[in-house]
Amino acid sequence: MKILPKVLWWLAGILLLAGVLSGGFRFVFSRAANLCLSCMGLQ
Amino acid sequence: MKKRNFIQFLVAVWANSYFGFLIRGGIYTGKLKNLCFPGLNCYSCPLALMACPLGILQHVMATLRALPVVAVKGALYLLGSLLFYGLLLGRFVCGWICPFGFLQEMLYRIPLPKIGLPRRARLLKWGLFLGLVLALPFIFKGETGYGEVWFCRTFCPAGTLEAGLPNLVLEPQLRSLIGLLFYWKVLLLAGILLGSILYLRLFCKLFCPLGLIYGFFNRLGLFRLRWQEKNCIFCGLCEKMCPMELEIPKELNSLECIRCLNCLNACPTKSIELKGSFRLETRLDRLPFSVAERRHATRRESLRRNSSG
Repeated sequence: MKILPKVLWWLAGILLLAGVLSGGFRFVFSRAANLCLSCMGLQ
Repeated sequence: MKKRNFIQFLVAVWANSYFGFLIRGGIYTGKLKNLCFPGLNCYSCPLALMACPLGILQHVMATLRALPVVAVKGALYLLGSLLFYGLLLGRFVCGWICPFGFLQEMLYRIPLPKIGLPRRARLLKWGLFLGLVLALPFIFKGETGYGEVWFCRTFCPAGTLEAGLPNLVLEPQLRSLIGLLFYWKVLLLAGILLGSILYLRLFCKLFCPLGLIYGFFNRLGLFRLRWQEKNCIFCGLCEKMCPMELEIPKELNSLECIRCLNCLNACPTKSIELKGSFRLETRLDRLPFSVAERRHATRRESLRRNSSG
């Protein structure tokens, strides 16, 4: 395995962990659990 | 139906399997909405279980100026998810998981004359990604201080098909909001669906920003395709079977490969292989004369005998 994929795997893990610990999933939820009028082309 | 199409079908059905809207109305608001789905699947669809990563990416860009801390938290989670999916699956997502890709493949089966498009047209998705997904949501902000999700709003055909049309049927009060923008999106959706009948995976090839992101992982992800010249009889079957019209072996791991594995399955001498980039595989490859190589040699020999006989 070359060095870049290894670094990216570590980065993915760190970002996910940081995202989960900081509550980043709440941001995702707050957007995805509401009807998005823009996505439908209505706003 | 091929095995891959069956998997695409199962994933599409699972990702859109919330029927609670029939009783409670509205969209799914359970715990799965905390997670990003790997493919393009609008979260405003009444049936959708998970969040669309492309929509969330635009929301991150749109929120960055108004609420930078909140947006950065969301960005960490989203980028981590995208990196994870990219490294684990790469464009396998496009070939095996994405419901919109599946829909286009099914449409292409309609027996109508097929067309070709210049390769340069595929540069359009760069413009959509940089302009509508990243730049415009960040640059233009409304009265509230937030930007808009420009790709979803003005382009995304999955949003019109999965969210716009069904929600207008289910929620009559939304119909008063129909305007020019909606008609534009319906026209665009019709064009893309009709185009997909004539040109295989029109949206994936020309427009999809998510496919562009995953494409970068074709060279870096866990699985890569490898061509073994010693086995190849240069029959060209792999290129004929490629839905993305790639030059094989030159473009085996290019941004455009959707990892459908048609080339690998079509190859009569098995000279294209899917290799894991993890350590065990690398060690096995270093063996002087592996079982796989012995098998290739036998096949090649039998082919030679058949062609000479």
